[in-house]
Amino acid sequence: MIKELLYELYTDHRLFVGTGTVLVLYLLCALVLVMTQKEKDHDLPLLLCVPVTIGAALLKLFEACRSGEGSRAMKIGTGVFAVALCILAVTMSGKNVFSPEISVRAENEMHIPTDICAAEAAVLADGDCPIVLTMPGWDTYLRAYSSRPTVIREDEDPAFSELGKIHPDMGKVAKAAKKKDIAYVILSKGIWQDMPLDRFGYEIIYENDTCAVYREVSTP
Amino acid sequence: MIMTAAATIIFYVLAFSVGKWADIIVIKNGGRAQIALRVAMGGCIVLLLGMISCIAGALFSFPPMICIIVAALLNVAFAVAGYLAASKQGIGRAALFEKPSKCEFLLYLLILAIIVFEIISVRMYQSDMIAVYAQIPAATAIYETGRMIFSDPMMMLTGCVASVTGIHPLTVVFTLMPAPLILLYNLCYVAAAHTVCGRRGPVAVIFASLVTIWGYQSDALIPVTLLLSWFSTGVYIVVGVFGIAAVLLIIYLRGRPEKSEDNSEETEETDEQYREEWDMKKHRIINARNLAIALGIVTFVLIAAVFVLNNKINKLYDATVNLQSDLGSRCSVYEFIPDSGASEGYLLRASDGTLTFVGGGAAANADALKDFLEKYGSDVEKWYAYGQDEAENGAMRQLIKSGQVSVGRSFVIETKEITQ
Repeated sequence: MIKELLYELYTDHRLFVGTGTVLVLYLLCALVLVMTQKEKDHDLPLLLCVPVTIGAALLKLFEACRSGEGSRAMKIGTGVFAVALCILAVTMSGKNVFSPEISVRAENEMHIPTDICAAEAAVLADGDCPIVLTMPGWDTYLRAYSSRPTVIREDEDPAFSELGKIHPDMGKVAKAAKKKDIAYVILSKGIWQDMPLDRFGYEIIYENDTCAVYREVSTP
Repeated sequence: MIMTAAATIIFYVLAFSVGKWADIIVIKNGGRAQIALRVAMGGCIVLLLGMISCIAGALFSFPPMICIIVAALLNVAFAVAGYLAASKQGIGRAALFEKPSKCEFLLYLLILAIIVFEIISVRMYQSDMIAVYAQIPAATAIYETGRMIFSDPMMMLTGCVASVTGIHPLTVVFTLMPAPLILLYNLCYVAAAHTVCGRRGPVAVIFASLVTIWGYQSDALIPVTLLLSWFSTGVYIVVGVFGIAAVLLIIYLRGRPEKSEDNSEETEETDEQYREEWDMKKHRIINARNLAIALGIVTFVLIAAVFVLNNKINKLYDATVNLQSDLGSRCSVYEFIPDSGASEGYLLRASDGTLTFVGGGAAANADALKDFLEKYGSDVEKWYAYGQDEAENGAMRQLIKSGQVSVGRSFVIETKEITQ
């Protein structure tokens, strides 16, 4: 039970605090401030501001190194501790928000892939307030670009989970889509289709390098 | 670029004017006015008034244009009231600048360079985090419909601005907003650091900026990560409101008079009288505290145990459901081996549940075959027997004749072995 509890705590901690080093860093810095601000405890509301707390604590440590008080060993120890905190702050406290795994170069001012914008524009030009199914992850882009189409959410439809597979079964996608009156399907051209969607009652109306737009074939 | 510059200038003119209240609060509490705090607090108030007018707009179904006009009027009224209050209290023009030393000046230049780097980077780089974009659809809906919709307050304000200017909310968020907002939130850092660290504040701000760039931790924190979600209400609260609140609290606590310490003889007598009573109370307090801690621990363990158990049961249930659907959706083959030990046939169960049997053997196998088929369903869609002899289709004929097994269509495979 204890092992499972610890595992759950670890999982939740990873979800909310990530690798947790910023929290550790913050707690260490808060400790430094609390210990050194004994005579000035009115400055402690600074703890509300996480990055400045870290900055102020590091500054305090460096000031302690430079001051004339304390023994030589104490000063060296403080300096080493401050440098270690700096290294932790800059290199290990998390991911750089501009790192390639988090950010990619924006294609346009809207920060949405241009091909996806074009595909949605094609859907909007063809139908006024259509119901659209698209690849997992793209639904958020489509909703941010326009509120006119009803974009099926990831947790709403079995067709969506089918599209999340490596080799989605287009028959199942079409069956589930028709059940929900989904008029348009925007697919990535990067997925492998054993049987293309246009074999199951949908026709292609627009395509570019990234995506293809399918419309349900309707009989008069 | 011109639009961005215009938006930034308008925002900061308003922020500087409304920020007069910061000077009043600081000076009334015995502090010293500072430009960073004035602009940062002013900017936060401008955003707050904008959000309030948007919420009122949604409540009374006002169009976005009215919301923006109301927000502008509120800001102007707030600024005028601030100047009137200041002149009434004799604050007038407060000295906002302290002449920085050369070193300070260079540090402030470095901070400015970091802020410019941050602004350019968030404009150039597209976040790959879906949670960042998930906040924007509300603003898009306001922009496209021209009606105020209750949603995230910052997104309501963004939608209003987009609707009035005719610029898509995505462009507003990623092109117009980074410059004023990232600068504003960094000014909150500067104000907090300057209040606590004085003239060495810029060094603390540089550390804070580096932590901001390297500080991304987890998916749950994206809405409050400054350089990923600078336009969100989460960042407004965590960086803006908390930052300004910290500064104002510090100034208030510093300005509060210290409690006087009486060392008169009268108090010694009173101490003697109450010492005994105090000891008893102390013991009671300690006992109550220990009991509370013990109860707290027990409650925590119980809640945690229920949580873990619940989580495990849910996971087990999900796994079972997935396993069932997975097994049900697969094509399976089962081998029929009667008591003789030799394989006499194969049952194929298709992904849609239909059964096909191949083989069967002599009539002697009929009972064993019936038991075998009962496990998978006695409704066989197709039956392929190896030949027309009794030894090859006897079991099939007996089961069909007795009605123990229902067979849709039966076939005989008259195959001949290919010999060289």
